[in-house]
Amino acid sequence: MGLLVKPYLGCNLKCKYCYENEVRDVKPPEMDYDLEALIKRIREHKDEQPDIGLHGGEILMLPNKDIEKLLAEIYKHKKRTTLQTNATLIDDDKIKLFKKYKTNVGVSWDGPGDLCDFRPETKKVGKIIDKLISEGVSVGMIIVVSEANAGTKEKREKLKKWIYEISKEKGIDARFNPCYGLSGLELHPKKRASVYLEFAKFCVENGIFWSPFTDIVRKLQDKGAVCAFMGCDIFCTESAVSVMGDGSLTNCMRTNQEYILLRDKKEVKTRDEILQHIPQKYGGCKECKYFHNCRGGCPTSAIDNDWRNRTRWCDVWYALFSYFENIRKFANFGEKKEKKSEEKNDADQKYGYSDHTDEWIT
Amino acid sequence: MTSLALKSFVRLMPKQGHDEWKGLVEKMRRFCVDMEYEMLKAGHKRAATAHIGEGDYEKTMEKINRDGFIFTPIMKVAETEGHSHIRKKPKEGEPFTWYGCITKSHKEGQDFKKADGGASNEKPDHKKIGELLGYPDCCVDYYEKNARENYDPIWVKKSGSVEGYPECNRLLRYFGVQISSHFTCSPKCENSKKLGEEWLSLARKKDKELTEKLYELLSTEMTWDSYHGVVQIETPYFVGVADTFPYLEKKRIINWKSVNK
Repeated sequence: MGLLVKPYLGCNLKCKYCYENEVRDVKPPEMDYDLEALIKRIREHKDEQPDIGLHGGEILMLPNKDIEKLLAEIYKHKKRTTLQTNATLIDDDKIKLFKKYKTNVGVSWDGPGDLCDFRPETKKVGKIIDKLISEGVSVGMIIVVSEANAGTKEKREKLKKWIYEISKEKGIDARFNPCYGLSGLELHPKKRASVYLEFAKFCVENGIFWSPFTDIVRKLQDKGAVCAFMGCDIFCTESAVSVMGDGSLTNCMRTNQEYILLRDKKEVKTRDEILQHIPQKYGGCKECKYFHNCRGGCPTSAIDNDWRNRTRWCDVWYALFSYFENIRKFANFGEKKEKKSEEKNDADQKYGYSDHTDEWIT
Repeated sequence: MTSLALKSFVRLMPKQGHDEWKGLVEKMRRFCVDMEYEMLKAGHKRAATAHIGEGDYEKTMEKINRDGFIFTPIMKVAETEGHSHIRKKPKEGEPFTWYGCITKSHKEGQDFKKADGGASNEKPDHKKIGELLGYPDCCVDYYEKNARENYDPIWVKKSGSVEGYPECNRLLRYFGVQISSHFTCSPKCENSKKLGEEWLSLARKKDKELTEKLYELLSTEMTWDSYHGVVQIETPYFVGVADTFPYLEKKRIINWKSVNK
């Protein structure tokens, strides 16, 4: 999927749910990266990886001259660049770099006001996003869905209003990432499926084509999709190859906790093999009709934090696969009827079959 | 026993800053294979098992014959990546090795072959095999009692904190790192410890530095965690995984601590 260049794991923020907190707690990050080793890795992977992105920690904590060296190297091979940031350190100089190297700036933010309570010191990010857009910089977003921005009906309404605004009025493409694994921060298990269904319906009704919903539809069509449904091998993640500051290769950072494990050279689909045979009551996926779509979910979100189990978020993904499969059935039903009779048009009107869904479900 | 049967695999991933361990463990594995033969040569056992591939057939046979031993072939075994719990017959055209035993006499070779019985034998004579391989009686009894229920019988009644002798430590057996080449009946099996001391004394003469590193590794604290047919072992230097007997409902964890440390 991509090469993530991670020179420095430190961050200027202290987001409560960050999946790199544990690594940072064990070994406080140092700004001791080896720029030459990183550039060498970029060159090694330039052909096999469709995307090469700068990541952290917070990548914009690096001196501008080093950020530029890395962006320039990536640009040389890809004619565009990408990075993921909390956006708080973006200033005019950095915007110049983004424009020079055609950078898609991925911003991690959970919404304005109290929606970003788990990301302290980020209130100003909304204005920074506006500035980036006004300067013509391409912006994408990752929104972590947690108790802070989706825990109550009131918060969800606020979040939906903001989603509509950034999607429809600002044209930003984004994805909802689940907040995994931290009690009190992760959406409560009893409500998370209904919360995700609520957002899915909202996106369908408003023609907002965001992940993971678009990915669920893609998986129902047997197409590639977001990493959560890739059936990643945690020792050789298909989703990402991460380059650490010393140039060593590891996997998606979600797989690393107390220590960083070096990446295995070969991918092995052991988890796929196990989950298909283990009964659901023992943490497997045996006889689940969506197994080939979902592949047991992200291994780092597995039951008991053990990759040999399926995801704890099984209830959410199952509900969403069912929901979109039903929409798809309706769409197909409509298509068949259309050929037979003109009366079908009336039926479509009756069931509210929309052009939006037709566009991406068929 | 469940029908879950994974393809054989072994993987070893060093932790950041410990890159050298992948190569080092492989070096230890080869050393342990050689030590089986050295133990035979030194008279600590009457037979040693061996897998001889097509590529090294000539060289290996010459060495065996020169040392006054014979190789008795038992069956062709399909090549696997690393270790394998089960000897699988190769399919037509599939690469294979000859599995068999190395002994001093033809009779001992035939005795071993009969006791093993190859692929067709459902009831191998573990007592005879153990006797020829020089395994302690207590460990042969333990294996005979447990291996039918669990084909990876590492101290089947133990879990949680386990203390034992490095000589008895079998937790890294999937990677070929071991002093005892048999399933020790207990982490503190005195007979295995004694045999292990003989192994160590011989090994130090062959490669002192590597032997000390191997002993150190088997002495270090590690976690062996078996669940859903995959065993995962974590040491301070690396994490290794391999296929194993599948515990379905509850994982079994052994937190190893050496009593010699």
